[in-house]
Amino acid sequence: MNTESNDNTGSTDPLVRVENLSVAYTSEGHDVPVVRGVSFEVETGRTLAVVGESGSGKSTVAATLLAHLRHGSRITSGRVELAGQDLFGLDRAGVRRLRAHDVALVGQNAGHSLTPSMRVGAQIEESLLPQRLPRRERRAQVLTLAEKVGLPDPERLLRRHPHQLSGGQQQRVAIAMALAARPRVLVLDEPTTALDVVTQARILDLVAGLSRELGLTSILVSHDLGVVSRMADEVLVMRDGAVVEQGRAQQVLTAPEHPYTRLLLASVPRLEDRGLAEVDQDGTRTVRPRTPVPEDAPDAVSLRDVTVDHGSTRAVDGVTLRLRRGEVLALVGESGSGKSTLAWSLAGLHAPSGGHMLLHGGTEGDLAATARRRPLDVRRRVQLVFQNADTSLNPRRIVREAVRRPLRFFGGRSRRDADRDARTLLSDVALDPDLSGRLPGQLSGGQRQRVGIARALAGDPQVVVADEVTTALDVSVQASVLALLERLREERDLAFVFISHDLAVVRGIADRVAVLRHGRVVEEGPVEAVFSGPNHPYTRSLIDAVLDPSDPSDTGGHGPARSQRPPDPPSDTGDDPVWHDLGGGHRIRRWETGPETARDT
Amino acid sequence: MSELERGNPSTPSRARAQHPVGRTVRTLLRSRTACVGLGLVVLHLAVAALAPLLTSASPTANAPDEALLGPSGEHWLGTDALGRDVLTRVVYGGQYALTVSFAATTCAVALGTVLGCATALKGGRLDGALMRVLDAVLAIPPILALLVVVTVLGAGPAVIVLAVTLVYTPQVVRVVRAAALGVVPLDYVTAARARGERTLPILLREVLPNIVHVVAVEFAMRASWVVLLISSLSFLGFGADPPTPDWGLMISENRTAMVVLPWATLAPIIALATLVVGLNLSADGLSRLWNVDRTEEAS
Repeated sequence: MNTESNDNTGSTDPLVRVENLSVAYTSEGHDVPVVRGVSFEVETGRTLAVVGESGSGKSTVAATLLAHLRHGSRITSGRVELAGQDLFGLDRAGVRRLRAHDVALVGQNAGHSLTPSMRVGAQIEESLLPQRLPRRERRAQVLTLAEKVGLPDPERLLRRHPHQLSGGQQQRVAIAMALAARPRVLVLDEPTTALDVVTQARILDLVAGLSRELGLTSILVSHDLGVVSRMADEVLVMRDGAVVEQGRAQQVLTAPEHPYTRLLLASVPRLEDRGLAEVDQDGTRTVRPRTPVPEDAPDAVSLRDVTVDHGSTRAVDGVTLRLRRGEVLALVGESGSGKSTLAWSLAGLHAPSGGHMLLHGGTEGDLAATARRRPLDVRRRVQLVFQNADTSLNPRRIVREAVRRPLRFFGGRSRRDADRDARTLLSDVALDPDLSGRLPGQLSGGQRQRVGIARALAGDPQVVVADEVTTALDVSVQASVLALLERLREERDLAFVFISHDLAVVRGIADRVAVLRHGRVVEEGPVEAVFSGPNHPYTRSLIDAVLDPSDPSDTGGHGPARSQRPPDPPSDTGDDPVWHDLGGGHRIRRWETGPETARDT
Repeated sequence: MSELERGNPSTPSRARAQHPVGRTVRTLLRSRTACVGLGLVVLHLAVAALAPLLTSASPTANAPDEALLGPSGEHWLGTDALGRDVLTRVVYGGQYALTVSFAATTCAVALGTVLGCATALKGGRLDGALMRVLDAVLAIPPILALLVVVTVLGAGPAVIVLAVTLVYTPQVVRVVRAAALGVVPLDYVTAARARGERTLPILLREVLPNIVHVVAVEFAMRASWVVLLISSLSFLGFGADPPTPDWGLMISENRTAMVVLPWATLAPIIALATLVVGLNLSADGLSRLWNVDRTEEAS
């Protein structure tokens, strides 16, 4: 498509060249650097991954390839070149041409980047407009693109509105829009962060396949080293706006030189860990084996045939589980599997429509009622920690107030006592009590999540429901929050319901695993047994979808290729009443082995 | 901005963020619109409050031998048909309009905020029913409703406050409810619900502090409408009773002599206009500073 211009620049010149790029924004008269002296080159057809934790400036760098700077930012030094052309020397028309023809962006959350009131077909068509094709050809092109990105039944699907598509389908539409421009460079800004593991694996497959087929040059921005190892030829590790290490993916991910890269890599939970990994500052990791829960541990919560309905749809369908004291039970499954609904029911936010849900131990009670109907003493024994630390704290209340409120509400303490206890709780969750006067906006994501945990502990619970608590955190922070949960479990003999779609995390923290699909448990068992198999094919597909960063797929040139694609999950609905009992509490629901494969991303 | 804050959480500028009041003032100073608007409003409030100190003349005492004088050293803006000093009456004239308007706006906004938050928090059938009732009230033109109420109950500040509250509460409810609906699904409200807190504490502790900027903008916006409405009532003869110095009443009394004594009509008009413009500018500036979406309020 753009072969002519490639030839003009010569085959040895890199397509993208960033030289000593520094970006700063002005805040109240001061220049605050966001990117400091970043240089890299990407050759045609290669994939460069920009890796870093939040705030490292990686997205800012990626955006400069679209000649975009966030409002208030400016380039303080350096240049960004595409095929020898300085992108920040372009006039408005030039920038428009660049974005219409040369560089395309796939953003993090396709659900937000698609216009809600426009049919997706029309949106793809819109990005074809700069090519000035006749209408009929344009339509045909849209259909071809939709097929190319693997949208099922494209004719019908293109007439839908974005909210009628699943997250994976939305991301496919976004990719189709990016490809419509026939770009030379594709900028992928955390393209799969908002998706669950199985969908993520499929989208990555798609992008890898397409960039190989079309010979695209890609810049991938990600905090997930697993994704990077799956996609990248070259890796650039950033920290505080500066490059700490760059090189071939294989080398950086298997033999990192910079301690920070080592630290990052070591913090990623692995499927083969038999416990939580503790990571030192220099990146050495030691896996602390789990202390097993005693056989005779008393039950903390028991669920029998619990069903939860959302209007006419059944979100949780006949779940029978038990949770013992001091045990971490992981609920895993894709988005929409009912795991969060079940957790919210436990926390009293959504009454189950059937079955029994009982609290055992120091305080006993019926959990089949919403929070307000539960006696105060039962209510305080089951506490919830939220996924998103950004929204789980009231932005107008300082940390101390957030923790003090439940102390006063449940414990009826005086203000002074509650203040003192709040400080104690904050130090229990390894937070500096001096931060208690801060507003949540002044804390980092990890600190906010710790406040959320302290708030849950303020009720003096027996059971803590942790809903994807580490999903939104950077890997190194994730590791420390997991370690905190583990310590609290031991110190306070707490029972945890830990919800996650990331099986590598589950492997480290959980004692037992229950796999949910379409609101039903398809497999349940001790963590060792579940991870060593045999498994329900759905569990297998979840385990296979985990990306391990120490397994880079650098095939020496044209994009990654991975032989073992995660198998599609079986299409059966998991309502077979027969269970295979494998002993030791490991049981698997019987499944149909149909030849058809489900394509429901 | 956010990038840095996330990356560097341990060193936020403490002094700047510790005092919400100081921060708010600093934010306000950044917007010229808000400064001018609030300045005008404060000026009006000060003049109305300090009226007895600013002028020694009585705003109500008749002086038939000084009637219909033009501007002079003694009477800067001349006198009206009953010989009262126009400037004195304009200075005092703000008292009635401001007191009644602010009382009425406060009532409407307070009631509307409570109802709007509560209906957003409760949701369900109650929400639907309340909103339909309010839609019905919204369909009645304010001035008509006001005239009916005043005719039935008789004119008087209390009646007018009541009537304005009734007329404007539904609009406030709509705006506040829309803002509260954005806060209600957030996790910190969910956390309060999981604790089993009652509706009122959730409303006061979790929801209200996060929509207070919307309420403030709504107050400024609504106040400008109410000032106009109440002055219209006085103009029509249903508001302030005759000897009372009031802008609407003055315009009505003096408009017959407008050609002879333009200042007797123009002065109260200018006073009224600057107050309304000030309120509108404040609303504009505040909403822009706090990113409040004003499209809802066009109704």
